Amino acid sequence: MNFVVAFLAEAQPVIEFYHLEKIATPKGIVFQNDQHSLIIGGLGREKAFDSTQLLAQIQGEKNMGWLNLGIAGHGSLPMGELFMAGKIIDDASDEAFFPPQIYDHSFPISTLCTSTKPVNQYEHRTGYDMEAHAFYEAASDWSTRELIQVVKVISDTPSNPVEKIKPKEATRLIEAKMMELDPLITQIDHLSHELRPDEEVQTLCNQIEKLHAFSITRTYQLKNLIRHAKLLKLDMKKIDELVQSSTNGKEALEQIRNYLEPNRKLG
Amino acid sequence: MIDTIYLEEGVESLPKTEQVLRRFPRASVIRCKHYKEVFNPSAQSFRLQKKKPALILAKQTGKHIHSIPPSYGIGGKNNFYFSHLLNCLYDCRYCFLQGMYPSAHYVLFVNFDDFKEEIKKMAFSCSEDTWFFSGYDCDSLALESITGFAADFLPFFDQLPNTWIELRTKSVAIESLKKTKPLDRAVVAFSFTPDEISSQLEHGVPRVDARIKAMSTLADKGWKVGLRIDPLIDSVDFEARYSALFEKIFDHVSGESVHSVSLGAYRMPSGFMKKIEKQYPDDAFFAANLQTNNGMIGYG
Repeated sequence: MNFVVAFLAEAQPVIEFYHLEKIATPKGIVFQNDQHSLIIGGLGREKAFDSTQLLAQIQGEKNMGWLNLGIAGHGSLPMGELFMAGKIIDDASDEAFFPPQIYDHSFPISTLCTSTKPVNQYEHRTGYDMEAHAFYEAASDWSTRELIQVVKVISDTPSNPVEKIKPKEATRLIEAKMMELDPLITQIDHLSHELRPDEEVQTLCNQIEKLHAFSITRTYQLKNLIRHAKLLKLDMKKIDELVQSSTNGKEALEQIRNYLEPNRKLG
Repeated sequence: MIDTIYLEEGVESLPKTEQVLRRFPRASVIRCKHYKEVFNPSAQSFRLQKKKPALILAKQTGKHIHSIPPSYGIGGKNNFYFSHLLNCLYDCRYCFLQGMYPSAHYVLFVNFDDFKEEIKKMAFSCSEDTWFFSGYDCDSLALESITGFAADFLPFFDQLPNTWIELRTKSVAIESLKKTKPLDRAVVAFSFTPDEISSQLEHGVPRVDARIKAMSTLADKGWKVGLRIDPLIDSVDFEARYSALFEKIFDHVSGESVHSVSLGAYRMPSGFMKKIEKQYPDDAFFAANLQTNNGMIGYG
């Protein structure tokens, strides 16, 4: 999971819960362990967008899980409640994102408005932050939308306005919700793994490519043939023999293709 | 079954909307200006959404009924289809919907009266038999408990002269039909593949035996039933499997009660197929002997 968080006070509970460690990067403040990464982006749209892009570039991988976590105001939900954004509106452009709601959880789902300035007029059933829309826009370049979610803990309401929030309060509010949040993070990561390419196929292709040279087109064809061979439950040792006995990449492809052809039937 | 409902601006007060919202009182309702805001964006995963599709309630604007090309060879002289619903409860790996739509959410067009108005105009403008097909972008009956489509449209079609309706389904949701007097000009068409293929490719679809039972129940009640062996899927033991399927069906359903039987070769626009295989690279269906011909994929 890639967490994008505005402030250290909001990030601290995540860092402690997942035992993340600060890593050295030329730009940005990033914490990591084997499974999760977290960037502290700063306040506002621009910083949220840039930090999301920066973390994506550091990771360099498509279809990972992305979560924007932080505190937010809300017009009707109570202080300390955690909600998921079902609709994220940008108050400047009026554009909206609709993160697909495919996870099992018991959190309320709410509209979230990303505003330019801190808000002290709260509409009913609407949350307010200053980053989510930009985060979503940036993360959409890197992942399918189901894997990008926004979760906020309510820190200010009409009866507890935004001016009163202190950093320690933000830490306490998020810390109290980490146990509830963890199963959601596990679900997102699990689905992210479902979309990853088959490592076994990739490993086999890499081995074949060490024996013979393939053009870009033929590399693509090789990967498809090996994937199909696996799906058809064919003998991979036989494929290895065919590759070993071929004099070049073109011939190896032809041999594998001929081996697959009579077996291309659904079981 | 439905945890999230997207509500398009302007449909809040339509009777069908109110009916569906009452059916799911605990669903989260999210408002949108137009259903395409939710349905159409790029970078959506049909595969992941299929795990828990949301329901979008929207209004169909523009044309509500569409001509079916004569080359399809079904129905009568005048053939039309209409789509009150986009997407299907089931998850058949060979289905073109996965390649055609960017989202797996169900879109229910709740302005049923607008569909009826256009169907009525068309029916009265044709002097010969006119056929309407409702199971093109969805299964006609699978989501009946939510849409109430058959219960609502069948009495309407019964009033139209020279007008036939075909409901095409893989469902066993026949309760509303059991409660209705069979229409003279309605065909409930069931599509099948053999057990061994269905269990591999037709995820979430009721078992073949259950569907044969539903077909037989309707036939016994006097409904005209149709048999659609469409698409035909190649597999090992192809002939034996399809023979066994036909035997099983006609052991339970008398040939006299079957209005029509049709066979359909598997075909899919190659662009759709590429999109689907990208979503499901781990599915053996795509390793089969499929070949491209004039932009369509089928068995070689």
